[in-house]
Amino acid sequence: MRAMFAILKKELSWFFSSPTTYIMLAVFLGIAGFLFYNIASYFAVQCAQIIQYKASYSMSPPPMNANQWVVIPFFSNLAIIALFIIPILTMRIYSAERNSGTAELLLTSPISTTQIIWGKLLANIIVYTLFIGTTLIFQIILHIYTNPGLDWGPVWSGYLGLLLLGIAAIPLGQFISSLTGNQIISAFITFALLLLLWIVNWSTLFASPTIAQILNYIGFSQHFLSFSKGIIDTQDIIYFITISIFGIFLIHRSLNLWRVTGE
Amino acid sequence: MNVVEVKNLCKNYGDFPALQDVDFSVRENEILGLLGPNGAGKTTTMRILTTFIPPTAGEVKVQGYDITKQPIEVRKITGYMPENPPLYDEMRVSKFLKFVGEIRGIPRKKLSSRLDYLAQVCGLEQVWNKYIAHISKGYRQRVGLASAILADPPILILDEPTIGLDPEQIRYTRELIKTLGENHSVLLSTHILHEAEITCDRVAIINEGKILAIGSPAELAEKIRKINAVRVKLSGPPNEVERSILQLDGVIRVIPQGANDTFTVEFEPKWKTHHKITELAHKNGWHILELTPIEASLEEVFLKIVSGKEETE
Ligand SMILES: Nc1ncnc2c1ncn2[C@@H]1O[C@H](COP(=O)(O)OP(=O)(O)OP(=O)(O)O)[C@@H](O)[C@H]1O
Ligand SMILES: [Mg+2]
Repeated sequence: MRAMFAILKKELSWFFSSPTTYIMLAVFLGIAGFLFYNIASYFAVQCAQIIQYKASYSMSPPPMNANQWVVIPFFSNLAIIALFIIPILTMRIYSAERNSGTAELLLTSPISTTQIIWGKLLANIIVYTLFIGTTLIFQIILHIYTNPGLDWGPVWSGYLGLLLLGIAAIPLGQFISSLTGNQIISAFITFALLLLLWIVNWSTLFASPTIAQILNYIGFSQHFLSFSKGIIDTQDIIYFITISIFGIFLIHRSLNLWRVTGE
Repeated sequence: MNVVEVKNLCKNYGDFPALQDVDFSVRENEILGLLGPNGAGKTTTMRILTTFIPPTAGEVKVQGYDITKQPIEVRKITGYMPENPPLYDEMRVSKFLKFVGEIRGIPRKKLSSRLDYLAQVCGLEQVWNKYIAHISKGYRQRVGLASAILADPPILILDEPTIGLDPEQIRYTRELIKTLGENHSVLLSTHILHEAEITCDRVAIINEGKILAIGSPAELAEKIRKINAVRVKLSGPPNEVERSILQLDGVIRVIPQGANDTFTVEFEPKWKTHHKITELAHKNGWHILELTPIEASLEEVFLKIVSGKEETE
């Protein structure tokens, strides 16, 4: 346990002392803010039109709701930005150890592969959570400037969805990082894989119904969408956790190819 | 008692045999040197012993633990300093050593006193709070050594521990290793003969993945004395001198030296060729200007063994 925390602490202190992290956070918040601004502005324009509509036809307007118009599309956008962020968070996690030779230190220390894996996973998940957590600021702004404000239930479930997306994607990224000493290649392949998992169900339009169902199940987006709509389904949670466990299994296999296991 | 026991160890990288049937053992509280030129297989041997890479075949036991079956036990009792000390550049020296202490499971209370001790013994006080990225090669080497001995394991495996140090530091590090060798079993590698000779209790000479000879520096030198050699200078014409010496019984070879009038003559001891040279001089009426026996230094042993000039039995 202590060794795992030592590794977790080492990774976290790297993240917080590295300028890369702050640049990334700034870029992340900038893009998220830009998208939020566009979505919210569009919503404001729609609201203004409705008011006009109501004035000229004196009919009851269709209901306008910030959750529906802003929160759901904002979450979809956040998920896509997250898919860009995750490869950058995971790219160095094993590649750097491999490259600088410090793998030799870790792997000849009396600690189990599991401790190494969990220390590194938790570090990435914590940083990722902080990143997505900062976007709460936009939800709060929306809550303050709308009447009657936000329905917070779906907001929290959306964040749960984002967190689960990270928990599923981070092990995959770390696995790819363990395969190469080159961080750029690691980031690139991870991004390609995550993007593929996000868009794989686009092809359902042209596929037979069974295949469409399978593709929908495999891909991230359908599962994530339920969360952003405020639906917490155990099926979706199981899906993300399964992907995560699969990723962790792959890291285990990969590290045990590096080192003597005794198993 | 043998602390490390290596039997028929083989390692292939793809088709390339980096180690072939390597056998040796490290006794308790001795310093064993692995001496060999570049690419001999020193680092490969050490990486296998420290469970970093698996062997292709053979058996290695460290205090009775099999390296492939009980690697965690082996890791607990060995301290390893790789050739290029693995350090995290973004950490401060103090933090790095603390990290190593934590992953090696040193109790918190013991750790801080141990760190103070190491800062002093390894001469790290000056750089203690510097980032590792900013310290010199010699200090990196010292931090590497400090991290190997941090948990005070009974077995130390040090891969070229003095490489890249200045003469003063080399001397100090060798002294430190010798002191450690009094109550630790040490395996160190080097390609410097002199270092093996003065630091190690026993030396194993390795080349192209094979152990060619093993023994104390004195024993190895003794081995080479089975070939005797003398330096000869006679007053006769050099060509004739060379030709007639070559015809004597037991002569292995004659190597001209200096202005080609002096020769190093190697011969098998039982033929007592040096007496024959005296007789030869008398017979031809030449004066003996020089006839001195040559003692083999470890350097010559090494060169001879490595270049295959001596058959090891
Ligand atoms: N990972 C590897 N893949 C392929 N060949 C390797 C690998 N590591 C080492 N070798 C080869 O194995 C041989 C032994 O290498 P090793 O590093 O053990 O030598 P060494 O005695 O430590 O040499 P040096 O004094 O240069 O450090 C060399 O020929 C080397 O090229
Ligand atoms: Mg080497």
